[in-house]
Amino acid sequence: VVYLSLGKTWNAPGYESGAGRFFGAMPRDHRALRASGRWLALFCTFYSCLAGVVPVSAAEAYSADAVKAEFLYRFAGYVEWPTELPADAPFTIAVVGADGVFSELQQLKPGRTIQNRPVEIRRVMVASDLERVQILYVAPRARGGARALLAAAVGRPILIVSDEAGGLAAGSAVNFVLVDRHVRFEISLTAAERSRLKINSGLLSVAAKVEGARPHADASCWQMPAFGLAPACLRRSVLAADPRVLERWSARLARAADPR
Amino acid sequence: MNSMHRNAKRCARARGLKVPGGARALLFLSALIGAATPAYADTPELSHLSLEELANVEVTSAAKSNQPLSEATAAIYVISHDDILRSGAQSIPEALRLAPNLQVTQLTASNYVVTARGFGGNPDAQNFSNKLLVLIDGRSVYTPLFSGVYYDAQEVVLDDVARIEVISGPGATLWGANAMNGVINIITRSAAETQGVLLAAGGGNLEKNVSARFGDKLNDATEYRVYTKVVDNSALQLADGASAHDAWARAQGGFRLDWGRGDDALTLQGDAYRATENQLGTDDVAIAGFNALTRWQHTTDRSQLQVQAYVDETQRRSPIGAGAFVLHTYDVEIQDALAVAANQRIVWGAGERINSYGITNAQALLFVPESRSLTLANLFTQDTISLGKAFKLTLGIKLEDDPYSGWTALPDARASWQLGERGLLWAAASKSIRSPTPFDDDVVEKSAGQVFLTGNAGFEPERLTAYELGYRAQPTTRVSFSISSFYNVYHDLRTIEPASSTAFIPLHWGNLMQGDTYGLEAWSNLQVADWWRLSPGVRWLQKDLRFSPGASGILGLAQAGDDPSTQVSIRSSMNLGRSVTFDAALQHVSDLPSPASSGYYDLTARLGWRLSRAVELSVSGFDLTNARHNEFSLANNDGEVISRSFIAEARVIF
Repeated sequence: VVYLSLGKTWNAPGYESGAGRFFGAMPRDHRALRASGRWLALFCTFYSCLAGVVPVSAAEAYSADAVKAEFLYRFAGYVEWPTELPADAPFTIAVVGADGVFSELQQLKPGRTIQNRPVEIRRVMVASDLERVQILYVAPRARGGARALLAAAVGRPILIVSDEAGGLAAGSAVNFVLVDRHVRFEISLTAAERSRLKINSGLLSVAAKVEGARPHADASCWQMPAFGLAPACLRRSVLAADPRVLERWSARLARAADPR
Repeated sequence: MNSMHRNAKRCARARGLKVPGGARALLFLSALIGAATPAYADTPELSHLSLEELANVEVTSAAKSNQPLSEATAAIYVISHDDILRSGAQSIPEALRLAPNLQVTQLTASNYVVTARGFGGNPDAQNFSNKLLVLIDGRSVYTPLFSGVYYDAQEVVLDDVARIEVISGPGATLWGANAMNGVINIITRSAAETQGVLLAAGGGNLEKNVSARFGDKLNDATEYRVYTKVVDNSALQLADGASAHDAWARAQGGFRLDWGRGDDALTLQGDAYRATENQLGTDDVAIAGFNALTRWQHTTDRSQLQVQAYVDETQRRSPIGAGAFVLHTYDVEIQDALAVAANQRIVWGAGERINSYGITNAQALLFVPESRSLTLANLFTQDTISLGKAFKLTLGIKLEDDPYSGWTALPDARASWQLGERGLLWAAASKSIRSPTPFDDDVVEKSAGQVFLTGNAGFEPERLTAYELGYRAQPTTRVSFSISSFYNVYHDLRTIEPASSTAFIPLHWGNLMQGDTYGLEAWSNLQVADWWRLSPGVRWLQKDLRFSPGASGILGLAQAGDDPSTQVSIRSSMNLGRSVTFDAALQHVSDLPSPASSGYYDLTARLGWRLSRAVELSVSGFDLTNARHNEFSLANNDGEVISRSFIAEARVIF
C-alpha cells in the first residue's frame, strides 16, 4: 500500500497547476489532514468540476499500480505533442510488459477522455505497434524485446515512461521511482526534446527530479507565443485563485444542483 | 500645408525675419535658424525654439485640425523631435517614456505595455492594455484582435519623427472607440524636412542598430525619402540572471513622397518589415508586414479638407501549435475643418475601415470562426464656438458602427477660458468605449483538450464617462506648465464568469466590474538658463473599482490592471558650449500593487558631441542607478529584468 504524497499541501505557495494540487495533500499526518481537510474537500469538489474527476476521500490509499495508471492519464494534460491527432483518432496509451499497471489503466478507463478523445489502452509487442501511440509505458524488469521497443520509440513523438532505477538513461522522458513509499517521477527534458514534446512547468514542479535543460520559468505568460495572448496564464491563475472565491462558487453550484 | 511649415513661418514672422517665398524647405530652414539657440546654431531643430514658440507648436491631435498647443482643451503632451534624439531612445516605446502622462512598462526585449490613466492590464487574467489608441501618420496600429498594440511590429527611424503627440484622456469623438484613456499620434517629418543623407549606427550591450535615409527632390513640387533600419536586440534576463531567450532582430524599409502645389498637398508613404523573436523554451516568433498610405490635403482660407486611405498587412507566426494570423486593414477617411463664421469652426468627417483576418488556431487558443471581415464605419462632427474673446466651447459627437456592438454615440463637450494672455483653464466631459473584439467574442481556450474559457457573444463594450479639468499657463517666457485632473467613471469592465449557472467550467468573459478612477497629471518646462532646461513631471492615479452584483469575483479587482499609483520624473537638457549636449532623466515609478512588484528609480543620461556640421557622436546609458530592475511581475513569477545598458551612436547627415 502506497500513499500518494508529494510532501506539500495543495494550497502551498509555489504550486501553479491543478496537478500539483491534485497530487498533493494526501498526508499521513492526521493533524495536517484535519487542518487541510476542509480545503481539500473543497478543492476536490472544485477540481472535479474542472476535469470531471471523481473526488476521492483524503484518507483512502491506493496501490502503486493504480497511482501510476492515474499519473499516466494525467501526464497528457501537461505535455504538448508536436502534431495534432486526426479528428477521429483515440488517444493511445501503450504498455510494454505484463504489468498490473495495464489492468489499472483499463479499470480507470470507463468514462474517461484525454484531450476530448476516447482513450485506447493497448499492449505493444513489436515496433510497428508504436504507430499512433502517444504515451508508452515500459514496465520494470522488462526483458530484452521490451528494451528494443523502448529504443525504437526514442525520437518518435511519444512520451516514454519507464519504471526502474536509472530508467531515464534508456531514453525515456519520464521515469517512475518509489521514494519513501510514494510514487514519484523524474523527468528528462533532453529526452522530451528529442521526442519534440513540450512539458508544462506544472508537471516539472511536481517532479522529484528534472534532468536536462530545465527552463528557468515558463515565459508563455508574458512572451509572445500564441500572439502574446497567454492562454496558459489565465488557466494557471484561475486554478491558483483565492480559495474563498472557489468556496463561494462551490456553494453556489451546490445550491443550483439542489435548490432546497 | 504641413503644420510644421506653418509653424516655421509663424516663428519667422514673430522674429521679424524676411521670409523668402517659394521653396518650402528654405522657408523652414530660415525660420529655424532664426529661432535656434547659440549652442545649436548649426543644427536647426524644433526644440531649440524658445519656450514660447514651443508652446505654440501646432498640434493636430487634439482637435483633428491644426491648433496651437496652448489652446488645446485636453491633457496633451508633445514629445518633440529633438527630445527624442536627445533622450537616447532607440525605439517608439522607449521614446514614449518621455511623456509624463504615459505609463510605459517593458515586459520583454520586444514587448511593452503602454497606457494612460491606468488599465495597463494583467497577463494573469489575460487582460491586456487595450484602452489606448496609437496612430503613425494617421494609420491606426492597434490590433483589432484584442485592441492592444504589438509594439514589436511598429518602427520608425526616430530621426524622421517630427513629434509625438500624447493625449491622456478620451479622444473618442475624433478618434473613435478605444481612444478611451488616451491617444498617441506619431507624426513623421515631411520629405522636405528630411533631404540629404542620414547614416546612423549604434552599438551597445543590449542593442545594435543601423539606419540609412536618403532624401531628394524630384522636381520643384515633389520631394521624397527612402530609408532602411536594421535592429538587433539582445535578450533580457530572468530574475535568477539566466537569459530570457527573447533576443530579436528586425529589418524595415520604407519611403515617403510629398507633393505640394498651391493649396494642394499629396503624401504617399509606405513601410515593410520583418522580424524574428526568440522565445524561452520554444521556437521563434516571426512577424512581417507592410503598409501604404496616401493623403490629399486641400487648404484654403476657409477650409482644410483631407482625404486619406491606407492598406496595412501584418502577420505573426508563433511556434508550431501556437498559432498564426494575417490581418489586412483597409481604411478610408475624409475630414474637413471649416471656418463657417468668424466665431465658429466646424470639423466633420467620416470613415470606413475593414479589418480582414485569418487565424491559424493554436492548440490551446482558438478563434471561432478563424477568419472574419470586420467593418467599422464612423461619422463625426465637432463645432468650436468662440463666445467673446476668452471663452470657447467645443461640442462634438461621433457615431460609430462597430461590428460587434452596433452603432454607438460618443459625445464630447469641452470648454476653455483664456485667463489673461498666458493661461488657459479648460474642462471636458466625454463618453468613450472600448469596443468588443474577436478576443472577447470568438475565443475558445482549451486545457488538456477541454474547453476552459469561451468568448461571449453578449459581451458589451467597456464604457467610460470622463470628466476633466485642466489649467495650462506660461507665466513667463522661461516657465510653462500644465496641470490636468480627471474623474473617470467606468461601467461594464471585463470580468471572468462561469458560462452557466450549474458548472464552474467553462468560464466566459463578463462585464461585471465597474468603478471610478481619478488622478492628476502635471508637467512643466523651466528654462533655467539659455543653455539649461529642466522638465519635471508627475502622474498620480487612484482606482476605486468594484464588482457588480452577481460577479464571480474570480481573480479579483487586480485583473483590471496592475498600475502604479505614482510616477515622478525630471529631465535635464543642457547645451554645453557650441558642440556638446548633456541630457539626463530620473524617473521613479511606484510599486505595482497586484501582482506585487517593487517600484524603481531609473536614471538615463546621454552625452552628445557634434564633431562637425555633419557628424555627431553620442553615448547613452540607461538604468544607471540599478544594475538591473524589474518593471512587472506575475503572480508566481518574477518576469524579466532589465539590466544596465549603454549604447554609443554615430550620426552623419549631409
